[in-house]
Amino acid sequence: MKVLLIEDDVETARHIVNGLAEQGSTVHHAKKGGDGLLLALGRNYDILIVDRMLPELDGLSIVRSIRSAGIKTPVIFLTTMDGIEDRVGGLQAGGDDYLVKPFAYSELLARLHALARRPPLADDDTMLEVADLKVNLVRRQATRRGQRIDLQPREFRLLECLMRNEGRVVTKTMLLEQVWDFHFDPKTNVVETNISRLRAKVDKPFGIQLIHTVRGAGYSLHADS
Amino acid sequence: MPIADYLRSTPFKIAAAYAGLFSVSVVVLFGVAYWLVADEMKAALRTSIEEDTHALLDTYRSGGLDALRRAIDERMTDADAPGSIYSVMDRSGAVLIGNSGIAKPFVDWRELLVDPKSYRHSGDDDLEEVLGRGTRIDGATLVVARSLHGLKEVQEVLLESLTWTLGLTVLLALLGGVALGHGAVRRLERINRTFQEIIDGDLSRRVPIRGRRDEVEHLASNINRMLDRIAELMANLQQVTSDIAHDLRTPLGRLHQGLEAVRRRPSSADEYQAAVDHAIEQTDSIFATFSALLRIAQIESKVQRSNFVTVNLSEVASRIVDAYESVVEDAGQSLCGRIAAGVEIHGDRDLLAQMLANLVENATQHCPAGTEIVVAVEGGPAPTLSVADTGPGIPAHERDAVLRRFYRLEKSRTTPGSGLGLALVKAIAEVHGATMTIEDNRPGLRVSFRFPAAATP
Repeated sequence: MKVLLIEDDVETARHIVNGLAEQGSTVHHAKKGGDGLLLALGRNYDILIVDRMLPELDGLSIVRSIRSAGIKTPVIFLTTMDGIEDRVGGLQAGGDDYLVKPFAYSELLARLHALARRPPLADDDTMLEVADLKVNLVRRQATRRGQRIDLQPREFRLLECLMRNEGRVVTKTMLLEQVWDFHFDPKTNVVETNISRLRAKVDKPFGIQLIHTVRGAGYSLHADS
Repeated sequence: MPIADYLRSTPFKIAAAYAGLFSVSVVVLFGVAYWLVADEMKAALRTSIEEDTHALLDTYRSGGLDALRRAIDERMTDADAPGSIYSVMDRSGAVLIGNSGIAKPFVDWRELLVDPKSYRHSGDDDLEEVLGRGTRIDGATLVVARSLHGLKEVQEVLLESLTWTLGLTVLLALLGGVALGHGAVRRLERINRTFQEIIDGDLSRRVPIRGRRDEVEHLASNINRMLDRIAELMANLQQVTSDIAHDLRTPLGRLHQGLEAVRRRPSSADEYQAAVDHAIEQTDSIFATFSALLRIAQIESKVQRSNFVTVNLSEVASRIVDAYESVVEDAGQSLCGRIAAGVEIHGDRDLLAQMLANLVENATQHCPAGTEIVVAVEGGPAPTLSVADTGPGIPAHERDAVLRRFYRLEKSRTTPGSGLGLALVKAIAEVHGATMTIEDNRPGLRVSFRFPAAATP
């Protein structure tokens, strides 16, 4: 994965660069907005990580510029500003995701993977399939080994989200955002509770586990290999 | 206090300005009176002279020079008419009849100076101004004149009273100005002293109020109210600061203890792993407190109102019920929605979701198993939203306090939570202009919100 990081805070940047390098990604780092924009325009990256508050040129302007230049590389905004209008503003400027500092590295990584490998036109799929688990998105039905699984609508949405990210880690926060449209951190175990109910219906009767807990990061749906 | 301070004071300046204005008006008033009196008196003298002249001419025409002489002599001895001059002169100026005060014969009106001894028995040596009229009679000239002495005297009296009045006006105005200035300077000085004491650090000081009900008192009472508000905010700030410090000490302390424990004795990789997980958990808790505080501050600053749109309150409530149903069920409680469809308000849907989530979480965390939690939305001109439970409720005297940051009921000290949930709920309700009510659900707690109707575009 080729990543461009535009971030002026040295500590945060080192944290991200080291982490991504360990995963085998190539990371270019720009400290200033202007340099970042030049790199983003000049080379091909799989994903851009852009801090919103930057010297010279702020993150929003950078993303607007590259979007108007026709570059469709996915963008994750980083910010210390914890606010709904910031998130909305970032998405309107052409960002694809948004992460508030301080964030767990696993959270960033999960989102990077989700964005960088987002399959094109994923929304048009009508059937999702992982091992013997099949989900019909049109009829809102799930079957495993041909056996119909009776799911609540929220359980179905949860399963759909996990299946679209097959093999990748989906964090608690991502699930809250994508399944319930929650942009805050609940104090209770909304995600855990619903995951365990989903497991009870999807995994337990069939013996083979598809929904895995990734320690300190989130959940991942995949066939054991 | 030096007199210069009074002279600089606003009341003194106003008094001085008014003294100037009054002086000008007094001068104008007296000037007009002076001119009118002089004019009127001169006109009266003219009439008298004219009538006298005509009478004498009639006498002359009917009785000749001798009759004229008799008439003039008679008039000159008349004690009722002091200051009247009669003179008949020939062309050379020799006096034929009457007194000799007029030096040269003339025709028509004229004002001239005459030795008063010529027509009055007593008097000064100064020449007197007279008004006279000369008329030709055959070869001679008849002059009838009257002294202007009376007029001058009246004018002098007027001038004198003008001087006195003017002097008195200015004196009174200045004295009044100093007195008023003294009063105002003293009262403002009191306010200034109070301010100085407050600046020096005693925020409990207040401007003394004397109950006079004037504008200075009004100002003073407003200043006092402002000071009360500032003191309240300061106390609040100090409270919050110490609460933050206290609330962060706990997770920081645990973090420290955990790290220390794992360093003290040799541990297995699993123990290190557990210690790291524990440390991350504690830092997350610190971040959560910070984020909640920042969020409250951000919402309270009301910057978000600009992002308000029409929000489907029913959809938000349904989403919350859907998300929390299983959590609440696992706690052995029940959650249901009584949600009217399509209720719309003007607001921020993420904030509203967070507000409702906080209330439902509060209910499920602080209530025992078997509690019923109801989320209700009603439409109408003032849409309402409520979260009610059948749990232990909040004692009436603590219902205001629970809205404060970090406030926690004694019995809930041990349950997890930052004590910021309801403060956040209150901030979100306020930014939406909603009236928030905490009441007894008999049994349990009911928190409800009445929203202003959504603005129709």
